[in-house]
Amino acid sequence: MSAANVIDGKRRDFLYIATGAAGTVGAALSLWPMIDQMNPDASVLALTSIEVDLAPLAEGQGVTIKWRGNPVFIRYRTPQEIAAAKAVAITDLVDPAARNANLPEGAEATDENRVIGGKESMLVMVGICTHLGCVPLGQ
Amino acid sequence: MGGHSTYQPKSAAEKWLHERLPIVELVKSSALDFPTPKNLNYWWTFGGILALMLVVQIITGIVLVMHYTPHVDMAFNSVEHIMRDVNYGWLIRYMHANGASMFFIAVYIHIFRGMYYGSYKAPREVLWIIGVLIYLVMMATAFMGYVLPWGQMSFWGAKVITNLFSAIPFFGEPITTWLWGGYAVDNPTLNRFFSLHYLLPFVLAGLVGLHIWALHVPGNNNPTGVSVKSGQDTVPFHPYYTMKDSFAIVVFLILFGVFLFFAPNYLGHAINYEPANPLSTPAHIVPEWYYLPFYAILRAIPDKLGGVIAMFGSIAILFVLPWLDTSKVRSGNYRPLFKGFFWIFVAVCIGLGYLGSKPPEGWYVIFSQILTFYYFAHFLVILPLLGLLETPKPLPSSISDDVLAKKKPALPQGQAVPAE
Repeated sequence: MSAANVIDGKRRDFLYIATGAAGTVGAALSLWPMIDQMNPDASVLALTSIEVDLAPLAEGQGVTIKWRGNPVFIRYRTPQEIAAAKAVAITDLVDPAARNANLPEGAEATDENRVIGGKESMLVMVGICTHLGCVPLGQ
Repeated sequence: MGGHSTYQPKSAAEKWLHERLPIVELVKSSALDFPTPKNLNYWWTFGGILALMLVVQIITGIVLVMHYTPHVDMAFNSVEHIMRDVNYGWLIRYMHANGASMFFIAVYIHIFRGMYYGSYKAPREVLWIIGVLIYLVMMATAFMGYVLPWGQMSFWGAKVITNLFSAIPFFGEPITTWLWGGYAVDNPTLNRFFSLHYLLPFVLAGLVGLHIWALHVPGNNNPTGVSVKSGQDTVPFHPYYTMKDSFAIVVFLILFGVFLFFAPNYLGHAINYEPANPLSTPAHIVPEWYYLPFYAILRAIPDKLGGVIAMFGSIAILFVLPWLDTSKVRSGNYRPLFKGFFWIFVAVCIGLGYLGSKPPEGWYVIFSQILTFYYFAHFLVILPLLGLLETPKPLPSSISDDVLAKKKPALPQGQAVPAE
């Protein structure tokens, strides 16, 4: 057997593994666009903020608007409603997290964290239950 | 498909599965151990390339459907939405659109390879017929897919092609109305095309399964056309042809990438970026490149019904090719006259493709008529006569002998390992 015919096992193994590795990385890279396409697209991300005119609201009135596909409850509260809400202790809430996209994560669901900054008469809440996403009745 | 495997389930779990579903043995015998002629050249890698392209089309297609809206008022905008808004939507849509072209490039090479090496001859007639069916379903699928973006060429292409059926005597009009679901190509047409465009690729996948099954009964043809005579003539499919196919796939994907990333619209028509307008026909209606030869045949015949018959006939004639070719010798390598006529036929098909892209006037029509005549003469006159008139070159006694004669002419006989 001439030198050219000797099988270099290590060289062959290396080529085999290198080919397989390159193929795996290539397949994974080409898979990513197929996964990422299911993430929110540019037209969805463009709707991060909306504007609502609250001027027509009278005290004691509420309005439900749609934001990112979810209902948002906006309520012009009376002083009695504000007082009643403030009287509820955080520990009494089933879910004590504010879940306010404008606040740092982990903010507590205090009354101040649910109103438009500086205007405690204007309560703003995403109108879905934090349990499994249903809209509460009686709104 | 079995019978080539030495699979013995080792672990208890493997034994348990094997007794209930011998799927591991099936894969091993049909995809790994399958004895394959050892002299297959790179023209034989297009089967694997085609299988990959079908998978690419199905995956990108399923993804596109997640963002596409099949409605006349929204289809065009939803495609633009895919191109502009959806993450990597441009990439996925261009993959799907150019993938269709790549699919056809590969299928044409695959078909011509079968024609040159006589892969349609006994005992592979059924394999060939299933292949022609696959090609037909591919054409129908691609046609309906092209309608979905609802651009000008989508709409008018759909109108012209569906109007072909109006050439059918007596029933022409009710059939076209039935196809359209109305009195013109409209929303019902778009919806049914969308439904069928989603269905047919899975029909294709089923046909491909049959195609592979029909391939594995007689086994692969090979460049000599001489049947496998002993184990010496074959090598196991894996690793020899898995590696060869993989390399060919990588090279083919480079070509795909060139179109995809550098000329994604080169094979399309600019006017299809204009929304469909049922009130205004574009100056020239031209189908996608892969239909052009048949479009040329359609327009070569001055009569509407005659043109339609000639066009469908030009594909239907492929079904009976195994019986039109009277030569017993499979491979064109051993048929000196056939070889020349084969390449003339390839040139005629390309010529018809060129003529299909030109307006139907003046010399273009006359050349179309000459080449259409030749296309049919190739099958109906030349192939039947060649088998009777031609003296083939002597065939090698076996695949192995042919390989050895080419590589090492001095190697003495009898040194090879005896057959198993």
